[in-house]
Amino acid sequence: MDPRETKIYIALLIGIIVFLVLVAFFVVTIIRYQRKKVSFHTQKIKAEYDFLDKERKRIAADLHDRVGGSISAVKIHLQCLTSLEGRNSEIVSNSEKQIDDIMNDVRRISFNMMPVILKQKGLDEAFREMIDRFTADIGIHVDYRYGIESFPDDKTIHLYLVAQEIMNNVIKHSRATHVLFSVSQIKKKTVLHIKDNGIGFNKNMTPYSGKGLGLYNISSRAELLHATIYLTTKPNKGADYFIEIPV
Amino acid sequence: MMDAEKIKVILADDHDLYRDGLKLLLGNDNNIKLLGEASNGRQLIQLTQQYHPDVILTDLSMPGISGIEAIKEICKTGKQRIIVLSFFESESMIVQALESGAIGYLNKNAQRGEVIEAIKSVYDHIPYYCSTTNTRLARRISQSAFNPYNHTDPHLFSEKEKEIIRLICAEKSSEEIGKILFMSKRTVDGIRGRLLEKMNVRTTAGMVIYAIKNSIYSLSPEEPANKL
Repeated sequence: MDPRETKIYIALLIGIIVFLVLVAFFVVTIIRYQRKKVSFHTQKIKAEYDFLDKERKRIAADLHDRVGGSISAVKIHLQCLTSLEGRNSEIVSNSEKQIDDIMNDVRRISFNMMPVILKQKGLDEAFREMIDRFTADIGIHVDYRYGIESFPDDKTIHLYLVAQEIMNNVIKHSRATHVLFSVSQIKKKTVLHIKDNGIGFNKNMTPYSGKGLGLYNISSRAELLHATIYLTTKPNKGADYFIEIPV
Repeated sequence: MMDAEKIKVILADDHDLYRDGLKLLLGNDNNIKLLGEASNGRQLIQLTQQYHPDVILTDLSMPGISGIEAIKEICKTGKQRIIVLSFFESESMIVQALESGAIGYLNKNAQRGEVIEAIKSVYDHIPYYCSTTNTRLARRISQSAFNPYNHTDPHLFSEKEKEIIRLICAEKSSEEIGKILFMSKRTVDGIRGRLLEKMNVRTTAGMVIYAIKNSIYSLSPEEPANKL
């Protein structure tokens, strides 16, 4: 072979190698950047939620200890008024009724913000109580099953609030009469499965409506659990939320 | 009434305003004498050992030694007549307090007259659950280790009465029971009143717990599965 030809081939080969290295470097950089972006995004969400959850806890506790305590104190003081007659008796009894309403509101708001029971008794009990509260006054039957042995402590709040958000949707919008609510272990994953027989909805129609906000909350919380959400629903076909969380 | 005949009470709550109200309320009743008040579990234990009250009224969440811990400690030396006061505390905490030795439960949102009624009931060793106790909580209490009721003579209740007890436990109203059993609402109410007397309970919640504990009404361990 002509030495000049060889030189050209070598130069070409070097050129190709350099080009490939450059491309590889470029690709690796992009992948790295993407990964960083994703992890930064997750971290940001986590930080936001950590802050939010701390605030929720503080407000719930304040409502519980201060407002709740004071309201019941006012009520008991009113009960000290005895031998009331006519209009006065009516005023006191109306005030007592109004106090009851305020108390129920405070109780509901505080529990929705942060159930004290979650920390004290764990997920199973907290879920039971949540379902009881959701179904207390309405004719909806929830078939509840809990079959996991443990769940990481720092993540229980997210799982709990994801479930609460879903149940909120079900109770407020679905008009369901039966709900299946199960937490189970499937292979190496924890599965939260909530399924109702209600009116369902069109997934594509809801992203920014009121209900969409609920779905957004569900998916961003779920992200912190590295969970995968499978939502199956159609108008008049109920809704099926199947959420897989790697453990 | 002579002081010696009065019901001697100690109360514990960390909320000053609430405790003041309670104090005022108890002061209005001639049959009750308040011996002392505590704002935490430790004080409650001390006061109890010092004064040996007839009835103790205690909040559940207090700083330091909680209500439940205090109840356990106080009941170590023998049964006491304790009423727990709760506001937001979850149902499981109420159940826990009853398992720990309390025999009465009062919501801090109790209605007029309930506080005094509870104290008198518990003083007579009759368990008391305030009117906010719904059937759901009653069922949970009945599934717990808490059992203040002695086993009943199976012939104490007629078949008709047992039927009505079961319907009450199934959360049916007097009117609904009347329709099911072809009776007037007034007849059902009459029987209901007689049942409360026979069981020596004060409220429907008490009746549900009594019925479940005495196997008059049974809860299915698993609710029937749902068709979806």
